[in-house]
This record gives sequence, C-alpha cells and structure tokens, in this order.
Amino acid sequence: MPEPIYTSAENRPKIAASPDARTLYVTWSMPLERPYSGMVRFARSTDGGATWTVPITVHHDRQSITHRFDALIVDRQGPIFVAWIDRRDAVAAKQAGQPYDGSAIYYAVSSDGGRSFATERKIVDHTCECCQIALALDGEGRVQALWRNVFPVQIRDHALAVLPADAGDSIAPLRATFSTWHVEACPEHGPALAVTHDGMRHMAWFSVVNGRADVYYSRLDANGKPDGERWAFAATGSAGTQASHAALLASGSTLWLAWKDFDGDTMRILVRRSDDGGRHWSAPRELAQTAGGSDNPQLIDDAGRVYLSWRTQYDGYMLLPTDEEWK
Amino acid sequence: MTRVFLLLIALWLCCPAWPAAQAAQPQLPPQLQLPQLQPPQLQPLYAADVGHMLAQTPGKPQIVEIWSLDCSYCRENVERIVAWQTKHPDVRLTMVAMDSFDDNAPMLEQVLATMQLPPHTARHANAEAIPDKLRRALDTSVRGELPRTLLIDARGTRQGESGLLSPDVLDRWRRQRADRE
Repeated sequence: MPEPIYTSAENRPKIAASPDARTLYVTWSMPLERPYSGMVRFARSTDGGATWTVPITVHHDRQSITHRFDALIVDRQGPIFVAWIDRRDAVAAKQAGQPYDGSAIYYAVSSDGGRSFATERKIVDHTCECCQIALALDGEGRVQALWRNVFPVQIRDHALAVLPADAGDSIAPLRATFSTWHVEACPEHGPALAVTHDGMRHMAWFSVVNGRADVYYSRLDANGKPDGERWAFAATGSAGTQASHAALLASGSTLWLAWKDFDGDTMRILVRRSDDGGRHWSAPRELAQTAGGSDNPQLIDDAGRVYLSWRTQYDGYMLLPTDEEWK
Repeated sequence: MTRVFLLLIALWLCCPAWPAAQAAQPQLPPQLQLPQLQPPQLQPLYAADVGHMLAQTPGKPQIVEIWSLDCSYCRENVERIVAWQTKHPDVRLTMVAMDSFDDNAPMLEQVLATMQLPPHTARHANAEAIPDKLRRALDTSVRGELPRTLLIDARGTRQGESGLLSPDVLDRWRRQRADRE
C-alpha cells in the first residue's frame, strides 16, 4: 500500500546493499499528520528490487512526533544500522516543564538481514533538528556517525561517535568541529564523513565562521584530535558563487569531495580529489550542471570506480564517473 | 419531476415571510459598510520580482520573514514578530515561504491562516526551480538556515538575522532606525 514519504534533499529515502549484494535495503521517513512528525520505515528486496517486503517501522517508540532524517548503512558483517533524529526526549522534557535544546539522535541495528530491529539506543541528546546524519565505515568495519550537535549555548557544531553493534558497548560522542556558530535555526545542512584506513576521520560540513558562511573540510585523527586546520574548500575564486551540500568519499587511498556551487543562474557540481590523505587537493573541476531544481550530490564507490549520483529536475538522473580527466 | 416542482411552488407560496424577513434587516448604506477584511492571497515569488515586492510601501520600515513548512523554529519566530508588530503597526510584515508555490500552496495557505498575521501581511512562496535563486535575491549572505528575518528600514537599509529573534533585537533595530530617520 503506498504511503507518503519525506522527499526533501536533506531527508530523502536511502538505499544500501548487503555485503554479498544479494539483498537491497531502503529506509525513508514517513510524514504523519502533525507538523514535523514522522516514522522511520524500512523495506528490503531479495530479487534485485523487483519486489519489496511490507515496510516495517524501525523504532519501537510509536509517538506521533519526529522520527525523521533517517540514515542507513550496512557493516561488513551484514548488520544494518539505521540512525535518525528523534524528538521523544524533547517532548518528555517539555511535558515535565524542563528546558531541552534541540532533539536527540537514536539508532537501531538489525542482525537478521532486516527482518527485525533491536530496540533503539540513544546516541546523544541535544542535536540539530533538521540536518542529515552522516554514516561511514572505518578500517575496522565499525560504523561511525557524524551529526550537527547543539552544544551549550546553541552552538551548532558537529559531534562524532562510533556506533556499536552490541547494545552492551558504550557510546562515547566527541566534538568534531569547532566553528562556534551560534544560531537557533534550522540550517538543513548536514555533514559528510569518510574514514580512511589509518583511522583518520575526514569531514565536510557547513557553518558560519567569523561571519563567513561556507562549506569546510577538516580532519579528526583516530584519537579524536583535530589534524590540521579547517579549510573552506569550495573557494573557487569566482565572486558571488555559493557552495553547499558536500559529499565526501574515501576510495582506497584517494579522497573525493563533491559539492553544489550556485552562481546565480546555474547549479553546478564541482569535485576535488586528494591522493595524500586530504593534505593537498586538486583544483575544482565541474562535473555537471543544471538550470533547474536538483538533489544534493552523492558519491558512490563501485569497486574503486567513483561516480557522482545526481538527480535533477530538468536534466534527469546523472551517474557520472568522477575520474575521467584525472586518468 | 412535476411533483417536485409543484412541491417547491407550494413551499414558496406558504413562506411569504422569508423575503420579507430578509428585507426587514437593517442595511447600512454602502459608504458606511465595513470592507470585508480578506487577507492577501498567497502569491508566487520569482527572484526578479523581489525588488518590486520590497517597494510596495516606499518610505516605510518592513520585516520580511523567510520561512518554510518544515522549519520548526519558524512558527515560533513568527509568533514573536507578530507580538512585537502589534506594538509597532507602522512596520509592514511580508511572509516569504521557501517551499515551492506549485507543490505547497494549499498547505502554506492553511498554515498561514493559523499564524494570526496582521491583516495586510503580504504572503509569497518560492516560484523558482532553484530555491537558491530566490534566497540569493532576498539575501546574499544567507545559505538556507531558517528562519531568516530581513529588517529593512525606511531608507531600504537591510539587516539580516538568522534564527529565533528576541524582542531586544527588534527593539534595537527600531531605535537605530529612529536615530537614522
């Protein structure tokens, strides 16, 4: 039976495959009647997407509140991780007359190929209400999450945590960015995360630093310490262009960045690559453009071949190799 | 059919008081009747029309509130602005939704109707295929965070504020505006 879904670029449906590529998984956020409310839904297909299971709700909490902005990833052993923004703690605090900044994020794990999900766990309180969560696998096969947090007082920087598959293991979030952007608003601009084999966390994120709104790249080492300075990577030298919504991917020893760049009339996708762990980057290269509406860019790794995946209103769906001119 | 027609005729003949009752109600002359206060309709807004929209009340201060349906802070911010505006009725309020006009007009109308806006508040929604185009025409220094409030004084000087506004910010803007004018 068809059901409504949230379709904004920041809160669009997600797709992933099992390690043996025999099963496909999808998640999406289903709106409910009340504003900002929703349920995180899940379905799977074992016949290459021809048919799908009846959707299930991932979380056990059934309140008509925010469970939205789902994120999906499958670890190398097969467990499926779904994380989302959840309003239950904010609602409980309000009912108790207590202050509560932002929302929380929760996650749930399926260890039976998506037939069921274990009871959800809270990752952290006080997160942004409307920014997508980034998930990535590290060199040990663990799932790491990066999200926009709400630090005291209303500082919207990012935090990062390893998400254990085992509910008995603790979660230890740590601060990942240090822009100190103070705002009580919905940026609708979540971060991107890639982890290289040396344990380095590579992050692309939007913020306002010293009054300058831009997209930044920074690193956090395996011990959780910043490595180098943040870098406004989208500065192209063109006056008046605006960069946003970066995607970031680690493929072997190469890092890729892709982002939207708007010049006032045309939306372009620009890419950079780094072959030395993010210390130096190529000049930006335009990969695609459109004059109409568009999704945020995604980067996909197909056994070492990296593609830009981009849906546009006027020019259709684009799946473009990122490395054509660098070969 | 004939029976139904005859029945209607009979009912009409039996109820001569109906038109008389209507006529008996006091009617004010047209010049004394209050005009119907219909809020302005939601209008599509293109980037090229932003200048025209802002020039509707030349020489008067205005607040342009940029919002969206999915922005949880936006409705609270509108409440704060409306509460402040009741004490400053000379300040014109314009609402600009970043949601697509084509896809969301009925829902936007519905939500706007709940906002207790001043009667003459102009209401617009994004008509650009690339929302960034409208956003840029409204305010070059914002990248999508909502709510975004443009405070525009009588001389056209703009001040942009992101997020929930405290009354202090609005009061300070008004004082500065008064100093300049």
